[in-house]
Amino acid sequence: MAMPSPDPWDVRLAEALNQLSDVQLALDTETVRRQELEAVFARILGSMSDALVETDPRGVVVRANRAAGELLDPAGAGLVSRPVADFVGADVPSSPWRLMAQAPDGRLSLETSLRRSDGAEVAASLACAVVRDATGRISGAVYVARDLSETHRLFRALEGAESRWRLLAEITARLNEEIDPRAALVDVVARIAEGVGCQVAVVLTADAMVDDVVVAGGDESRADELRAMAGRPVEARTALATVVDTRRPVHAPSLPPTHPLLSTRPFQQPPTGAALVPLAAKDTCVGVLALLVDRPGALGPEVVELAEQVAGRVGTALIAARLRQAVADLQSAQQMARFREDVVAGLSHDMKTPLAVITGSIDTIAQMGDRLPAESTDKLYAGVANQARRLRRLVMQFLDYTLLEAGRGVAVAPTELSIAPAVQAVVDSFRHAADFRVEVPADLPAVWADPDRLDQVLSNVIGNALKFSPGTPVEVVAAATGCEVEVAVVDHGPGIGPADMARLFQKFSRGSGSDSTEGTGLGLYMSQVLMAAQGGRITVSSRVGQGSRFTLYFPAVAGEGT
Amino acid sequence: MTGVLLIVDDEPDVLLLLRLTLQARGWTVEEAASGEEALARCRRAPSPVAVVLDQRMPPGPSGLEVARTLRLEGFTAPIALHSAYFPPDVLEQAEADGLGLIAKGNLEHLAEVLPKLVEEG
Repeated sequence: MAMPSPDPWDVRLAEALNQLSDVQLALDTETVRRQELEAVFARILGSMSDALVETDPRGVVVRANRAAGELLDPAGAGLVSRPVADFVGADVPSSPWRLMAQAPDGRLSLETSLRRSDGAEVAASLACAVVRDATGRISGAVYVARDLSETHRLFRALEGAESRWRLLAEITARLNEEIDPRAALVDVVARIAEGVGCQVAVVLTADAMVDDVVVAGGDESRADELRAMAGRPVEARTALATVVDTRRPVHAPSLPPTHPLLSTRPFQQPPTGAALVPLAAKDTCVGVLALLVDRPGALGPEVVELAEQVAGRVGTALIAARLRQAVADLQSAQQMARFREDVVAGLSHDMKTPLAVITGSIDTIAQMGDRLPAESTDKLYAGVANQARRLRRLVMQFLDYTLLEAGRGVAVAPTELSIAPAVQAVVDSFRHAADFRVEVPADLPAVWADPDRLDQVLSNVIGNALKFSPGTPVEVVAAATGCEVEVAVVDHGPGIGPADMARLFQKFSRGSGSDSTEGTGLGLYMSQVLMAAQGGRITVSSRVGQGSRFTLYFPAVAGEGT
Repeated sequence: MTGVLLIVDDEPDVLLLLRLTLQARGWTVEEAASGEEALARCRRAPSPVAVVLDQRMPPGPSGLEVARTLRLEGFTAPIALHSAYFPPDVLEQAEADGLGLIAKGNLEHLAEVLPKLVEEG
């Protein structure tokens, strides 16, 4: 029998069922794909660092990513179903219609302030756009926000850093202006106090003593207490002592009021916080830079860092100045030592001629005495005596000088003496060397003087006169004037110029006309010292080209003859 | 020894000593108390056969300077410097100028050196 042909309705039904299952399959596939896409979308949204909020056409939040929750709702109260107007200011459109009204292309970007669910404000940069569906109908809006508070914080930090660098540069320049940086400290401390906004003190120490304290800013009575520390020892068990010994800073943002910061005596108005930074370089510490604050939290890390940098500059400048001073002291000590060497060398040098004459004369007399005429022998003896006196003067001069240098002063033994014979004796010892015009009246009052010293000083002055004006006569004139007796030695030599005049009675000065290797340069210096020690004085007047007049003044003794 | 020996020193005691010592040895001695005096004497006849100069005679020219001037003026007789101490630069110049050097204080040395100086001169 033949197969019956299928019922056409059955065929159509089967086809329809097939189509239905195809459509169902496609629908399922689409659903799965859509779910996958949504999952991908959700992952993207979740990992975004920018906040993203999607609203419906009325402006009610339908979706918010994790970042949006962190930015706007840290408490986790929920953003969805809240109107976006709750979170944005009046400058931001709170619905797609308003957005379209404000921006015809449906997009807007601006910097604004967003409102968190706890009421706090957050600076943000915001971009918003209208969302359309496949048919082009507006289905809502999307808002993307970036937190600007971090950026703002960085800018503020940068500005703060810039102003601190400027302060540091100003302080460095100020320190470099002065040869002695201590002169700049008042300025420097004032600038730091102003720049940082607290009380600033530089405490300079040396050998465990507080040498000086410079304060600016802050409470004036506490500043006075700080200044009163100068001249007192650095007290043990204070933060000051610790910083100076260890050369390490101490940073105490909150201080108990009785804390021994700089001294064991507490301040009347103790600071709430302090930072002490050593002024040091390598192993040397010359003091401390102290910042004292009266508000908690006022000593932030950037302030302490600034203090450390300033302390570095100040410490280096002070230590460099100290080194320069030490070098200068050393150089002047070396110079003094060289002078002394010259004195000794000069002395031994000056002694050679007298010694040569003495020994030569004695030898000659010993060997040839019987063959020499008596007159020659007499002259030789006189020469020996003369040179011996000269040697004695040189040695005494040097001994006086060494005693004087050792701080023991010169020995003088004044007595009452008659000046005429004393002067005559000195003149006679030089007689052979020059013409003298001597005017010493016999009726001069007695004077109070040491005979050896009178000899020494007068010989020095006459010797100079002969040395610097050979061939011209030298006058020695004595006179009584009031309560003194003056003895003047006048020469007609080249005179003394103003430059030499200024240094005439100083140690180691030699006239510009003299050989620089002759003599010790101490003669006039000692003469002045010796005259003063006897209660007298020595003066000089001179005219270049005409000559000089040295006058010795001795105290007269009241008595007969006045 | 014939001829005049000129001794030059600003110290009269030194001149005295030198004169006596040298005269005792037969020299004819003339004295000058400064560089200028020495130059004046050397320009007169009879010309000295030797000159002994102290180095430092302030405030006038030094022995070295006098020696140089003498040479420039054509004085050819031997010249010696006589001093207690010769600084190195003076020593150098004296040797360069061919001057004799005599240490002060040793009269024997002086007496020995002078004849040789005159002979070689």
